[in-house]
Amino acid sequence: MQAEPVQKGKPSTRRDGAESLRLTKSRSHWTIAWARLRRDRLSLIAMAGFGLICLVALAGPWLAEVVLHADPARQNMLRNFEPPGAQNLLGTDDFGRDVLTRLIWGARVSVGVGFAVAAISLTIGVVLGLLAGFYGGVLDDLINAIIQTMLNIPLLFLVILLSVVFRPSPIGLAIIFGVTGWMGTARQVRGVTFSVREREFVMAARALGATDRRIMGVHVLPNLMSLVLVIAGFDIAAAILAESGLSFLGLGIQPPLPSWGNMLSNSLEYIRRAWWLVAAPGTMIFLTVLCVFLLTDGLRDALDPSLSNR
Amino acid sequence: MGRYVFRRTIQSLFLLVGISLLSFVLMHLAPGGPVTMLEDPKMKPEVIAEIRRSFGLDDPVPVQYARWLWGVVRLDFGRSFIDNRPVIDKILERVPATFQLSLAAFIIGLLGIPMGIYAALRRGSWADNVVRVFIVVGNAVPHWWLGLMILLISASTVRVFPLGGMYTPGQDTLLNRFWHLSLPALIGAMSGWIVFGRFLRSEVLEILRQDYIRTAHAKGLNWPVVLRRHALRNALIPVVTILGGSLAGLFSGAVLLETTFSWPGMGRLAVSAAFQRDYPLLMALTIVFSILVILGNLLADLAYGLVDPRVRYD
Repeated sequence: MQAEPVQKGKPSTRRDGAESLRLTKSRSHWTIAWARLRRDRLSLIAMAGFGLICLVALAGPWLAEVVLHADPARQNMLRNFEPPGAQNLLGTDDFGRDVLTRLIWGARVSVGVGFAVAAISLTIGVVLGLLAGFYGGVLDDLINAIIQTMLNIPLLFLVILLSVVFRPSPIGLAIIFGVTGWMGTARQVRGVTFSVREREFVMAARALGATDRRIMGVHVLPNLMSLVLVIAGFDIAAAILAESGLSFLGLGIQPPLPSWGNMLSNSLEYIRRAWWLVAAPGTMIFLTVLCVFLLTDGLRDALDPSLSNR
Repeated sequence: MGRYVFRRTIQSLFLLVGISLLSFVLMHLAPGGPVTMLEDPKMKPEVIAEIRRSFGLDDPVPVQYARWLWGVVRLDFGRSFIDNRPVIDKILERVPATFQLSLAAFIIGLLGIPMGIYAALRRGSWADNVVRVFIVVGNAVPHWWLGLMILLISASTVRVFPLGGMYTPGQDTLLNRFWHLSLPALIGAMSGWIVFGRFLRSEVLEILRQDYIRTAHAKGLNWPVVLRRHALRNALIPVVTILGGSLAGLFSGAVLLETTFSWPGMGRLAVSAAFQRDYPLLMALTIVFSILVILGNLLADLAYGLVDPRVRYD
C-alpha cells in the first residue's frame, strides 16, 4: 500500500522541531507495520522459509515430474528401504517409493489443509465473535454458551469419531478441524469488537444513519484485521500440527495420498532400520510450523507493538 | 459456592448427555451403520441377523439410545463388538496406565513454573534466552515426533530409553517401570513446561512493572521479600486457572502419547477401537474422556475462587 498525503496544506503535528512545518506524508497502519517487520530479521527469514514451502507445495507435481523425474506412487519393491543417496536424495520407503517426492506432495496436503482449516475457523469465529460483541445481550449469551459447551468437549475425540464415521477426504478433514476449532477466534474477536463498538467513529457513523451491517462491515471489521491476520497464522500452525497428529494415528489423511503426518504412521516399525523415514517428514512439519510461528509473532509485534512482552 | 457447584454439575450432566447423543447419532450416520465390521461376507444372513439381534441393533435408534443411556447410568456400557467382553472392564484395566503417565507428566510439567519465574527475573540473560527458544521450538515441534526421534537415537546408539511399553516382560520391577515411564513422562511434561513457562514469564514481567512493586521497594523492603510477598504471590494466582486445563489437555493428549510409546492406556485403546470400529467401546471412551475434561475445567473454575478473593460465584 502506498502512502498518500492526506493532511493537505496543514502543518504536521509531529514534534520534530523546525521540520514540523514541512508536509509529512501520512502513512497507513499497514505501511508502518511493514516498515517495522522489514527491520525484524528473524521474521523475514521465517517469511522466506514459509514462502519457499508454499511455493514447493504449489509447484509440487511439476517439481516431482520435471526436476526429480519421480512419481510419489511409483513402487519398487526391489529398492525399498534404500538409505539417502545419489539416486534417492532422501531414500525410499517400505514400498520403494521416493521419500523426497512424497514429501513434496505431502506439502500440498499438509499446508493446504492448514490454510483451509484457518479459512473455515476464521470465518465462523469472526462472524460469531463480531455478532456477539456488536449486539451483546441475548445473542452474546447464546454464542458464549455455545463456545463454553464446545470448550468442554474433548475435541480430539470428536474429531476421531468424525473421521472414523465419515472417512473424510482432505477437504472433509479441513472442515472437521475448522468446525471444531473456531472458539478461541470468536472469543478474541468478540473482545475487540466490544471495545471498538464504543469508539467515537462508530458513534459518528451511527449518528449519520449507518445501518448495523454497514457499521460492522465498514467500521468495525477493518479494525479487526490485525487481530485476524495474527490468529490466522496461529490457526495455520495449529492445523498443520493437528492434521499431522491425526494422520500419524492413521485416522487423518488416508494413504496412498501422502501427508507429512501419515508418512510417519508406520514409523514405529522402522525405528531400527530406516531413520530417514522418521526424520524427514517430522523435520518438515517442525520447520513449517516454526516458520509460521515466528512470522506470526513478528507480524503481531509489527502490527501492535504494545502486545509484545519482550 | 455450594449452589455454584450444584449448578455447574447439572450443566455438566446435560453436556454429557448432549455429547453422548451427538456421538450416538454420528455412529448411526456412518455408512452401513455401526455393524459393518461384524458383517463378514462369508457369514450366513441368519448369523448376521442373530448378531444384530444380540447387540439390539434391530430396534429403532431412539430405543437403542435410551437403552444405552439407562445402561450407562448403571455403569454398564454394553459389550465390545470385537471380543464381546463388557466395555467397562476393558476400560477399567487401562485406567491405571493412563493415570500413571498423565499424572507423572503433569507433576514434571509443573517445573515450568520455576522455569518461567527464573527467566523473568533474569530477563535477557542466557538462561532467559534458553527458555524463550525452548518455548518457541517446543511449540512448533510435534511432541510425539520428538519422542519418536529420541527413541530412534536411543535405539541405534546407547539404550538410554526402552522402546516402549510399561515394563520389560519378565522383569516387572519398580525400577524397570520407572525406566519405561521416564521418556513418555518427560515428553508429556513438555506441554506443561511450555504453557507454565511462557505464562509465568510474561506474568512476572508484567507484575514487576506495577506501581506497587516500586512502592514496596521504595518503602525499604528488601528485594527477596518484595518478590515473595508481592510479585510471586500475585503471579501464581492465575496459574491455578490453567492447571485444570492443562490436566485436561494431558488426558486428551494421551491418545498421541500412548500410541507413540506403546503405552497400554485408554488413549491407545481408543485408537484401536476407532480402527476396529468398536462403537460401544469408542462411545464409552468418549464419555470417560469428556468427564475428565469437564472435571478439569470445573476444578479450575472452583480453584480460582479459592485463591482469589475477588472472584464470587453467584
